[in-house]
Amino acid sequence: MFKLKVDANEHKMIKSELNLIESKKYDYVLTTNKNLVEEDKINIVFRRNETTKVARLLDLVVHGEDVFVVGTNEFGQKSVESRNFMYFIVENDDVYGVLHKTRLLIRMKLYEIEELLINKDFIRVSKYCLVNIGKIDYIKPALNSKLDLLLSNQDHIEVNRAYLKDFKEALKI
Amino acid sequence: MLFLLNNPVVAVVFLISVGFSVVMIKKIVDEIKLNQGLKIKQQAMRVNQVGKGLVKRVSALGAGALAPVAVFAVALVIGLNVTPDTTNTDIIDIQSSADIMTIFEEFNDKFETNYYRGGWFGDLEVMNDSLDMAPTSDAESLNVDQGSDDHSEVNNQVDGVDEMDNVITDGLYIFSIYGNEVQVSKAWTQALGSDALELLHTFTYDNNWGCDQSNFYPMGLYEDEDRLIVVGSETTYTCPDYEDNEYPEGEEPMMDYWWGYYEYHQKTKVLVYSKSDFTLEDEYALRGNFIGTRKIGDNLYVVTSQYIPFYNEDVEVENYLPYYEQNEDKTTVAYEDIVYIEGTSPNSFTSFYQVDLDSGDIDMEVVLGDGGYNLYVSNNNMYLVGNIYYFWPASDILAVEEPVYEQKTAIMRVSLFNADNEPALEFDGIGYVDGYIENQFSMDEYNGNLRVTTTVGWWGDVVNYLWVLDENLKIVGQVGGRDLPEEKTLGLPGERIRSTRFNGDYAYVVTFLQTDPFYVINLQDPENPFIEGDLKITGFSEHLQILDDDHILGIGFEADEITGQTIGLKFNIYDVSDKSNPVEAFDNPAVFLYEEYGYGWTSAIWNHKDLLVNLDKGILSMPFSTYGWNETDDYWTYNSGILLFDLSLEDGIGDHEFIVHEENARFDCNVYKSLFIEDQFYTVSNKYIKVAPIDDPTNFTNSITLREFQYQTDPNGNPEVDTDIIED
Repeated sequence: MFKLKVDANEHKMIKSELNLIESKKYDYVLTTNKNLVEEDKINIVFRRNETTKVARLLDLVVHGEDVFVVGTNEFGQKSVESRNFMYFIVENDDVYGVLHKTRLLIRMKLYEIEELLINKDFIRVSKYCLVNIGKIDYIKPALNSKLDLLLSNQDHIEVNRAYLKDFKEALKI
Repeated sequence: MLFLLNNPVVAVVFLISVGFSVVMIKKIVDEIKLNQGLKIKQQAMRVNQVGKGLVKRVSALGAGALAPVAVFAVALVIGLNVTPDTTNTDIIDIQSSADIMTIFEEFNDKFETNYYRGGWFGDLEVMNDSLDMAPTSDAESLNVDQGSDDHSEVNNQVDGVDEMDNVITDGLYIFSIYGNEVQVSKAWTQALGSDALELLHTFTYDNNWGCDQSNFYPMGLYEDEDRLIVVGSETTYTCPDYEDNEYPEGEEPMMDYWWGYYEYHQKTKVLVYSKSDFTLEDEYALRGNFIGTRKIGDNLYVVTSQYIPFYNEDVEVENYLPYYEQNEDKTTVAYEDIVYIEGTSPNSFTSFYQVDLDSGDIDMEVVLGDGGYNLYVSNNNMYLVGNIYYFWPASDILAVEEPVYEQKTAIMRVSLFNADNEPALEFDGIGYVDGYIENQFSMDEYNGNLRVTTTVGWWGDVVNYLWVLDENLKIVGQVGGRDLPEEKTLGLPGERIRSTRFNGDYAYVVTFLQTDPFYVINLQDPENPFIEGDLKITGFSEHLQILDDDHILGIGFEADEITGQTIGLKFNIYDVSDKSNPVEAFDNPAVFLYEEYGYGWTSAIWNHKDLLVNLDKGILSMPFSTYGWNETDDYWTYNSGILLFDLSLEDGIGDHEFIVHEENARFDCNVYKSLFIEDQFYTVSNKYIKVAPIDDPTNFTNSITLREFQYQTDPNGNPEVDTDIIED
């Protein structure tokens, strides 16, 4: 998504300050030298001392628009930004959005949520579960060719064999 | 690989372990890849979630994956390369025959192949009754006369520790053994000198072969101020089927000693004669095969081994218990006095006896274990060398074809003194070294340390060691070993240790394959011994005799420099005054090439007591034998005699004389010992004792006949040997 074009001596440090991951295919060029801009890309030219502001800008670029999902729990209806969900799961024909400490009953079908969050790095891991990649703490291969995902709230979610390939592609493995 | 093929259960366990490890490693690789992918993805998402416990998790998984293989490898290493802890020797006290049976069963379970069954003769049974020695004598009462203190001594390894010999002198008498006879000859008196030479006394012992018969063969003699001590082996044969009358009346079953149709039973006997009248004063019978003996002062030490057919489930232990008889009084060892050293093959009762020749008291220590093969005795301890087996801990659980074990050399120590420093035998521990111990000269006790040379391997892959063991018989120092630079190895590639001699802070070691590296090893620091110097010459020494601190006499062979084949006998002197640069002291060692002298040999090469060395008299002598062809009578002759050299540290090994008792003798006159009293040189054969002045040794001044032989002729009239002995 990004390409960083700065002095070689400072490249590593600036990259770290921007919390940046570069890729071969990119839409954005980040540089401290206006002579290095690329005309067919979106160029962000910044001063060396403005990396903090640029990092915030990049967060906005990456995260995009906030998408809120509405659900209910014992305290009533809640609207929660999608990145806060650990996963969405179907139980007894009901769909629940699982957060760190609580879960919301969502009045949507799972495939509807999947479409809603298609650009939000959620991945289907089984017929009944949609997982937020950003909330996975650890991936543990099981002996039965499945994957066991440990989420940041310590819940375990299994990646079904049928969804394994898609999951690995999502991680670019 | 061969080990796995021979052990299918172990092989399966091994394959399972490897398979498990492979699966686990694949899982780990997948896991790492997945989580690395996750990490990159989340960084691109600009979230920081991952990485928690990845290293810890992978470490644990890695350990788990390799654990089975590691456990397997550790088990094998422990099982196959056991390093004995000499500080924690498993000495098992025995209380009853049941304990011994348990030891048999446990050992047999581990050692499924009964590879050693105690020799050629099969099972033994207990001998119930002592048979009379029935020595016959033609002696009259002996004249007491005055001899000389200037006489040759037995060539003992350790000063103060006497070794028995087949011919000895006390300056007045010569005592000699041949066959089943011990003879006493007066040799030298103050009044008559060597003119006093006469045969005084012949003890002839039972030599009966057949069912329920026994024979006694004297093996060695000791003498001291008052006593002549004869040590010998008595064998009794029993024929179990004889009494069953399975043979036709009047026919006795043929004895076949070589193929073991008959049972035999052995005792080691000690006969103590008074030197005043040569009457038998005391008789001791010590059960078991003779292993070795020494004498220190009035105490005689004997080691015997009583074989037990432990693989036989019906064996009755009490039939094999060691006992001793003192003038017919029989004492059997108590079970409580027997110890077992775990790991040793429980095939024998090895008995250590101390006989106080003054009081007649006998002390006894009995060890259940492998019979020993080399005995070394210092002034403080007895050391007996045997084998010990270390089994793979699971070898008795898995039904493998061959037991998994490692054989080591065990050195058993029995103290000659108790805690109150009184003469008494006490089992005092055991030490372990790798390799084979060549002979008694391979061991030496000095300042509380035991020094030992060993050779591991027989052909090709041979490694030589010198070990230093501390007072707990734990290895503290070492010279030689595998994978060392050449200057630190003991012997060139493929060479075995052929002879060793220790002298205080130094050891001298000869190895050989093609040439003779003679090593000088510095032992001043027992924990850091090192090779201080070496010398490479042709040939090799089989025995090293200390002449003084700077000179070592080598007795051995000359060898072809290219092929290593022995081409003659060689006697030389090493000058070790410069320990870092040992040299041959003289340019011309005494060499008897076969191509010049015919094939010849000397028993001094393997029996140091046949070697007579005296620098004061300036002599070096030893038996020497060659074959020759008698042109006149057209038959082979056997030229046996004594080779007598001039010897001095100034001129080395000088001219020699060859002293024979019969010119062109047939195979009947074996000259086997030389002695001196004052300036007279005595040579002893099976037929004669002859004496001549040392400076003119072939000019006999006196001679006595000990016995004569009668010969038969073959159909062509040629002489043939007949071993019948005609009493003198």
